[in-house]
Amino acid sequence: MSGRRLGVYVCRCGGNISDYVDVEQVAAEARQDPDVVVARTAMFTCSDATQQEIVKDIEEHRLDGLVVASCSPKLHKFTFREVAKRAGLNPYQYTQVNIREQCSWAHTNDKAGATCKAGCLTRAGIGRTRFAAPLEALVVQTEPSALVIGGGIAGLRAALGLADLGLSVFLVEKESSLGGWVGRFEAMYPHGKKGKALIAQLVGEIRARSAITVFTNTEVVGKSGSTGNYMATLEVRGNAPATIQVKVGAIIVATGFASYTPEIGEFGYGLEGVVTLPEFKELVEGTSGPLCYLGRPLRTIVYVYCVGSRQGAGAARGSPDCSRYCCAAAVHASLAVAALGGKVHQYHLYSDMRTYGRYEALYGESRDKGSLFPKFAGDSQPVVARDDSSGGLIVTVTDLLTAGQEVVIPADLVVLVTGMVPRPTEALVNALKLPTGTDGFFHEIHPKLRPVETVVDGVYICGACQGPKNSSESVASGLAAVAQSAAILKKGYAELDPQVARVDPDVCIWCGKCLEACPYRAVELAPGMYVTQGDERPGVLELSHTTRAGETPALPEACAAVEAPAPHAASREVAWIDPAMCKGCGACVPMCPTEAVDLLGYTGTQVKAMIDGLLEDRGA
Amino acid sequence: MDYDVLVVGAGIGGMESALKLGDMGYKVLLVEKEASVGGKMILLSKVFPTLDCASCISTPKMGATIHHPNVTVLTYSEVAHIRQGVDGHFQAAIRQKPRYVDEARCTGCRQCEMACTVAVPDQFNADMVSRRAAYIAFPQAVPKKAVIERAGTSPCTFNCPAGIKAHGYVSLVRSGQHEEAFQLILEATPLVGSLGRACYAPCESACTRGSLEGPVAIRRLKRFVADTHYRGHSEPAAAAIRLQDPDVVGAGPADGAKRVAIVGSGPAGLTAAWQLARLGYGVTIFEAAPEPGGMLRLAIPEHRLPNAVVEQDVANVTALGVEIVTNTPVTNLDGLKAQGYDAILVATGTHRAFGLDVPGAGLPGVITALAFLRSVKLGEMVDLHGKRVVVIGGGNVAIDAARSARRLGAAAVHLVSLEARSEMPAHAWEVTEALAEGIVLHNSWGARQFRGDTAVQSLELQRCTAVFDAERKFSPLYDESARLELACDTVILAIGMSADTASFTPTLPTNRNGTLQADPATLQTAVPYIFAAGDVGTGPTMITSAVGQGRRAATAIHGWLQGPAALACGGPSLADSWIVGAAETGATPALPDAAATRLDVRAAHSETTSAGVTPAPPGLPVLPDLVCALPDVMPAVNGADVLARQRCYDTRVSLPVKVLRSAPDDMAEIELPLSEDEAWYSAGRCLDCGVCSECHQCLEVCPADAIDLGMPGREIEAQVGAVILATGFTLFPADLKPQYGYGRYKNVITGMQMDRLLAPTRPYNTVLRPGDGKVPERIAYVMCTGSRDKTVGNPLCSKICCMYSIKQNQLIMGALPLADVTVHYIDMRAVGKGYDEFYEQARDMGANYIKGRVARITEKDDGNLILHYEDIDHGGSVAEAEYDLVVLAVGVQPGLDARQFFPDDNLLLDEYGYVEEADEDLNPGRANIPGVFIAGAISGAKDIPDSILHAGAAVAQAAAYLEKVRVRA
Repeated sequence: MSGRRLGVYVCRCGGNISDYVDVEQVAAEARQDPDVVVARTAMFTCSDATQQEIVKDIEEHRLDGLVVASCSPKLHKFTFREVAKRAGLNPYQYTQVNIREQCSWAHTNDKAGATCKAGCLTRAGIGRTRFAAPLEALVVQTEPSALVIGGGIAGLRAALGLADLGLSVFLVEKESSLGGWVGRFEAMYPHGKKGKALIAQLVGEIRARSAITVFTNTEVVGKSGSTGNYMATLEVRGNAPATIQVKVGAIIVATGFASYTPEIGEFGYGLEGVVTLPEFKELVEGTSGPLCYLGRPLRTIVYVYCVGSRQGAGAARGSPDCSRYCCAAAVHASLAVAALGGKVHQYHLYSDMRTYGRYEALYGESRDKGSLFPKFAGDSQPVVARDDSSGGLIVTVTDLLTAGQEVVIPADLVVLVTGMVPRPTEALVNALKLPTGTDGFFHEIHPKLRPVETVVDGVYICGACQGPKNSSESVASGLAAVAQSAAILKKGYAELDPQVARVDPDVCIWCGKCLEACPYRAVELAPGMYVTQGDERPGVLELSHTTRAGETPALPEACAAVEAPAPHAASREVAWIDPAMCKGCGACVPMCPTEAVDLLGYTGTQVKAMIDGLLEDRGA
Repeated sequence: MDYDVLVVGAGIGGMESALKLGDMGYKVLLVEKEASVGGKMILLSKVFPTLDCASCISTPKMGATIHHPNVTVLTYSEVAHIRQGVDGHFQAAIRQKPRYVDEARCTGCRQCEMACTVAVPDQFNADMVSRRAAYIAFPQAVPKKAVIERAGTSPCTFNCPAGIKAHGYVSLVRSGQHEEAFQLILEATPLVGSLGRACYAPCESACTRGSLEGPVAIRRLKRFVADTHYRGHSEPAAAAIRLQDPDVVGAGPADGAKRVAIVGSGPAGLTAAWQLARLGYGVTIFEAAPEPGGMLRLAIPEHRLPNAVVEQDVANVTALGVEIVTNTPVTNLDGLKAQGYDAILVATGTHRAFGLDVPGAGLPGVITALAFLRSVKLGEMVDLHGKRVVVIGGGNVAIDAARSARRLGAAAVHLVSLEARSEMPAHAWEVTEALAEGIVLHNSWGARQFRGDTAVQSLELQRCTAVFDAERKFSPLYDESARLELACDTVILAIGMSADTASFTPTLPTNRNGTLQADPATLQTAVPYIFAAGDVGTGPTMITSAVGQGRRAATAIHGWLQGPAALACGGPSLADSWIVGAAETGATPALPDAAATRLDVRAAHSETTSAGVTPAPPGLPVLPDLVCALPDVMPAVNGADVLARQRCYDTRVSLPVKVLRSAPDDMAEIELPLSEDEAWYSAGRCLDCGVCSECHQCLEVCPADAIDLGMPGREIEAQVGAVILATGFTLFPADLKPQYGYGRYKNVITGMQMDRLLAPTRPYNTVLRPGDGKVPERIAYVMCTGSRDKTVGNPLCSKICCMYSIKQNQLIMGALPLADVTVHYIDMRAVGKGYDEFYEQARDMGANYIKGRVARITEKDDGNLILHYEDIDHGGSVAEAEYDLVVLAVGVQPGLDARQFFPDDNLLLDEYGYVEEADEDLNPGRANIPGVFIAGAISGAKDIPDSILHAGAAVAQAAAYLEKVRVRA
């Protein structure tokens, strides 16, 4: 008994938990702990009503620790920190225990076992909370500027959006000109607006903004610092190569997609008259009269859909997923062909026509204009071959819509409706530590809760680098990334998690083990021995936008500003961990031979108490 | 500027918009029309493609929204209009609907919900189960505050001149709460048993069920309630009556309490006495007759209203300490004042009977109906054995007299009516019953003269050709050539009555018909301390009208004695008593301000005030000095709207009135009571027109005292810098595809209903088919119901249905491992990151996907369903398959018409009814009106991730717009 006053809340999650875990028993066990003053169950602990109940309990029972046994901390850690704050309890004197993902969902066949495990985990949470000390959030001032990587339509629009909100922007494009894919397109679905014109409009606006600095022929090669205060290293190639460092508060990645390139022989690719969708669009857009290919008028065009898309999980090439934009794009192209005049037969070989939402209207219009749509089964794909007798192409398909007959179509041109695949961006991934999903696209934290955020704080993703999107969807996500960045940068400061590692200089012997262990380069030698890294690289041009005059951001109360290490009295060399860089991963802690490093929020005492809680024999 | 941004709609798009703007530091006003934020997402089970629990990821957003320091949330509120002001600002008018529950006080304990006696379809559970009229939308509602749904005043209640909560006691009987029903009626009047028998029940005439198979037997339910109570409480006493304030009332009036004298103990006087005694006044009733009850006791015959019942009702009043002094006519009102009464209520009724001005009218044997009935009711010897009786009159009193005469042994009873049968003022059923008892009816005859030597021997009649003139005024015309003579021994005149107020003049001015002049709203006469209620002021009416007058008089007297502020804090019963009879007057009388009325606060206070301080009146609580704010009565619900709420109704036979065929000389009550089963059945036919029945059970149980049925709505004006509309979509009404049988086949449900069946907060705790509760083994999905379908006017794809169906397929296979799931589709549109893998996963789990449309569905006797479909994968043959349960994957449609928000501007919609994005390519989420943005499915079908990104786009542009306006300003 430590004299603490703890409250424990065990969640039913509507049944998600209570169907497999006896939550009443978990609460009853918690009540046996002498420090636990209140232990309750709730239908939805996250619901507003229960939150209010917790606030009331904290105030009435003067609780100095809170344990919530419900779901993953990824979901509700911040929810209950806010609850604690509202009740005047330090938010770091709260522990989230995950009895849903780790108990009820993992042990659906073993209610007794799941209940026992939930009890153990809850006791561990109580143990940790028993020794929880109040912590104050770390506050860093943020740069009112952002780096946008990628000069396609999403990146351009995002740059403008940021500038509209009074933020400075560095826009980096790898190629020599801005515009990306859309900059090459003429008419785009659904309205037929010309991609080139849209890009020209955006570029014109960007040129007119002094707040936006554009770098073309430039790649991002490095990044240091942390959210709100990144230093990005840019490499400018071409005639005047240079390395430039920019100070930015946030980074928006909008590097777009690559169009799938079929292998030679894949649906006849490589044969004369077999083209990909982007190639075909170029052909159509460059034609004013009836469509010709290599000087020959085209009478029959066959489209083969889903080339490189929907290849199934773990496919060697192409994308496991639907590329989303190509059905509507191909249908739209066929309408452009029809509009050019001439008698052209168009056959669309598809497995599912995915003209979702209002794009369905294009599909209907294409049928009305004479396009035919034979459907093939997923396991019976069309075959494209050269007809040796005529020299033309023939496409053979088993059409489900004509009772499974084999249909042979002589074709003048075969269009492979190719999808989107991730762009090779290994260098960028390394520079930014960006996570990618199994599909190779950049990965967001949560598609609904945090759709443009990545696990790297302050680094956001938008557009088709995240997954297939059409132009307007890319723009929408670009603007969503703007909103997300601005939500942090407009405040002028960012709050960082104070659960970071700290060195006790009296105990540290500076062996360098922690430095080796740290994946975030957060460990440095204490002042006096400190050598600035930047000086090692002469000739680097540093750009930054200082905080606008008269706009000193007001820091919230009860926050600790990040400070440089205080000069240490000892003349010994000791380690210092930059709290703004430390992610609290704890990798350094077990490496320290003198136990000089402790992780706030997970101190040695707390971890031992958790282990005790897990091992405690309840005599059940 | 009040707020930087107005966000309309708190679904996922609206919440995301508000949160992001709030994080940026903008002040946001978020308006949601439902009682909770959360939109449609919170209704879902899990969400694709990550299978997150929708509740788990919605609730943090909901909580964060409502607690965000920069976001002000108005739930249960609607935007009336938004107008552009100067400098690109907007002026928004918002109407906050009354919840009838004080949000600040409500703790979300659900006591009101559990006590509520009205059940309506639960929209949270897609109408598969019921919820109460008092409810919290769903377990995770934010804010978790109860709402009482009120569509208006139920027609029965609205049309009761006494303001009795007819719907309320009907719903209480339906719940088996007979005593509570009795208590509810007591709120209005102590005359429960009398009204249950003798009331002419205007409530039943107004009953919406009347347009189906007949009105609910509301009056007989009241009698049932009274009989049940009196059976259980043989000694009517204060203890049997739950009093509003037992400290004050249980002990009778406190020493020094103000005293009120009431002249007359009829329905008006008794009701006023009851109400005043409950307010703590010392009340004395002076009654001229030997028994209290007025017409109830003296005129309505025993076979309709037994004396014993009247006595039980009167005992309710005397149990409160009200003194009834009988055999004491009052002629000197000033004298009463001198005796120390602070106020006087005259409620003497209309006891002066009209005579006939024809020859022989003064002959012995010619008597008035009032005198006749009074003698009978008071038990005086009236022997009509062998006598020939003629009753003159066509009204209910005439019928009462005729039937009484029949019971007293008259050899023959003839009824002579000036009116034709169809014109008779008596209720048709009364006439029918009279005829059945052998009474001979002579219509369209008028008395010409009475003949007889020492007593009447015959009556000569002349033909009446018209009773009314062109203006419907009483002006009879006769054909003197047509004569009829009836031999008779007794003639009873039942041709009308009037107030006998001669003794009150000249103190009180009267009207030409003898009624007292009084303010129609306050019932105050020319003498400030004298009020007049009931028939003495209005002329002859119904019992319930007199009851209503008594209630109002009591309230007015209370207001006059204590100041109008006393009314405002007198509780719902007092408020109700002011608005009684709204249907009759057409509007709630406004209580005039103190200066404009002689119901004068200052006058009342001047007697008790010293040094400018109003001391607490003795025996009454201290009344805060409030401005009187009695609520308006809610308008009556339109019966047609009530019937339109539901697509079809079971016909439930209405129970006919059962009448005891008594022997001619038996005075016993003839109408049989409802049995308990019949009462329950009758009450069960109620359609709950107003939704809330005003049964007041919530008021009884609410521990926080948070219920306020008089809560007014609030009109809010706000100046905002920009607007984001996020009002979402509606689901396709599946019954518009009749070939799929939704609404007719119980086991055909919608995708939303399946989502509810699968949700953690599901109604049945498992997947059951609604028809018979069987666990389904074969489940079919019909995709594109209402989408990609020109026949229903929606050629578009709805985007979400393929994916939500795939999600449900997986959840069903998890919940019911033995179930077969088959999906009939056109194209599976798994369009999005990870979506195709999700589709493949469902296939791998065993879901069966068949390409081809479903032509129609037929139902078997056992509730199973036959799908007639095209099987494209197998040569396009037409096939049939039998399923236990069919899920229609309904698509989306535009939600409300957002143009209504902008009466001065032309908000552009696209050809399908969604709000048009002015520049979708570069500025998605921007509408055509500068400063107006749209987020989510208001611009077209979107799934949750797309809606959230779209909201982000709207937010970035709204913020940019604000910055631009700020710079310009």
